[in-house]
Amino acid sequence: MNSFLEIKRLTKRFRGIAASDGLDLKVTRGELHAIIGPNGAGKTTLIGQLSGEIAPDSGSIAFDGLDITYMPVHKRALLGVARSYQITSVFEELTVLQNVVLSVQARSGHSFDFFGEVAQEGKLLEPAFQAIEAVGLSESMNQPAALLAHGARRQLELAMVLAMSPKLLLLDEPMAGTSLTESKQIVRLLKKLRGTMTIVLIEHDMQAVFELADRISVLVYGKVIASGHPDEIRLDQRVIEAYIGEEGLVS
Amino acid sequence: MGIATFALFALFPLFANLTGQEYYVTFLTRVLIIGLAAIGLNIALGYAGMVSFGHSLYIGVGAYTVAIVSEFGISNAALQLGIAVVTGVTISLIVGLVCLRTSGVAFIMITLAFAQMFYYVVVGLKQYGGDDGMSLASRSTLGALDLENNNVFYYFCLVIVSLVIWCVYRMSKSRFGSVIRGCKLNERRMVAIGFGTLRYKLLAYVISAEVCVVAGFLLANLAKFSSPSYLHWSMSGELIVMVVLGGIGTVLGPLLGAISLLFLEEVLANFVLPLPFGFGSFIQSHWMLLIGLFIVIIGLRVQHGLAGFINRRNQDV
Repeated sequence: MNSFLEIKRLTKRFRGIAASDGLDLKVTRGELHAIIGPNGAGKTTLIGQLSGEIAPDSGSIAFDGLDITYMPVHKRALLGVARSYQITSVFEELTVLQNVVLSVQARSGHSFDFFGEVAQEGKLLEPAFQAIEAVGLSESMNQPAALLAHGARRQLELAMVLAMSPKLLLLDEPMAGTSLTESKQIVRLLKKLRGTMTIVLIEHDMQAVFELADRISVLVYGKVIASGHPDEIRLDQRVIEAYIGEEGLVS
Repeated sequence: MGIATFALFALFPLFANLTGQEYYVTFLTRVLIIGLAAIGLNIALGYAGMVSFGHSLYIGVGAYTVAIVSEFGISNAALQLGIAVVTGVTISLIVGLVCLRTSGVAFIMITLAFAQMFYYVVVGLKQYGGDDGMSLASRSTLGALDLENNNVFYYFCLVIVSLVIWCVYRMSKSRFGSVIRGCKLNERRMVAIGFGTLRYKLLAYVISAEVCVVAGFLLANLAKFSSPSYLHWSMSGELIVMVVLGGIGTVLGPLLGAISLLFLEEVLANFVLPLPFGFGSFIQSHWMLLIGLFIVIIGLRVQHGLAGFINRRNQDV
């Protein structure tokens, strides 16, 4: 099977410290691929290089057969690569709906329209409503993002990413700091999304990872040390060693 | 609020002519024109979050285009304006492209540097008046409209300002408006969701500059004079003060800012207030002190400037 996302010998150093150290990874179309690893393993740096915000020192990234290693961020976004941030990054002064509408707008033709009212454009509003409903934020639709609780902001972040109708979803710890109910809701949402698009998920919540992932890769010091089905990973000796003293790899 | 402001402006010349205070028609024309320039700056500063400290440059482009082309016998307003806008677009595209490579304080300084550069170019243009500026033989002509008549010229300016305000209002709710507001609020996120932000910011800068070009065109016509002082950095600074005072990123704010600032200046500098202990004449000679105080109070106490203050009052009622 051909790879939807193929990363070869990806290297990125920050002042001599290798955040990606000849990293190889293949992600198949339509799978939910979780990336786990101890703190400082280079997970967020990897996502940054996939979304284009960080330029690698060497190596290559192919997305759907296209070399995107040095493609600018916004062009990747239009191709269908969408990321969420570990630290929520939304438009604070805008309402939930306005936030998501902007996301839709990016993919819906050009924005050199000076007179038509955005608030009247069904083409922008409908997909926004759907994305907001999918993450369960319908009730806070007209609230400014600044007033949302932490968990709701994570949901908004997800809605904005979904509204881009992505082909490849890069999720950087979507459940960090959410309450139990909220993270259950996010797990439910990811289960629903699984299969409809390719998802790369970074997450510390091992229970969620093993429940959701089709395949898991383990990243340690900028290298993928193991990649495979959750059951294989659970039993992999190298993985267990890498995690000793870090956190117990749960049953 | 918009309609009330418009009605006041529309009726003013009648009142002024009845009471024999024609001077104030000219004064109010100036307020409208400077207000127009502030509205223009607000597109870059208020909506797109680009703090340009060099918009006087574009007032100068407008003013000097009129003065220079009328030397060559072109007096038709539409033609003059056309030439001015084309010149303005060319300059603002280049200047904008260079400036937008930076952001924050660097952006402020480089826009200022460009304006100063053009200021010295104009001062050096000896054949076009240099230091002393340049007189126009007459105002521009426009078909049957007699722009030499101060009342006609006033209404001409009022129509242009109203049109621009209406366009800005529509823009603020449009796709383009949301994109540039997004750039101001969180540019990194805008890029991440797929916007090539540079082209939108550049266009906002160019549009903003063109409004100032039109203001410059009107200003030179009003005084029948084009002066290097239009390009001085203090003009850029005054425009920023007006925008912030009136309400940054609001539709009518910049005009309100221009009105309040210029009226205060006019009143404080020209009249001795009836105050005891010689305070009246003290204020007359140190009127800038009071204006400074006014700006500080508004800046500290009122969010979103005068426009924000008035909007909140209206909502409370």
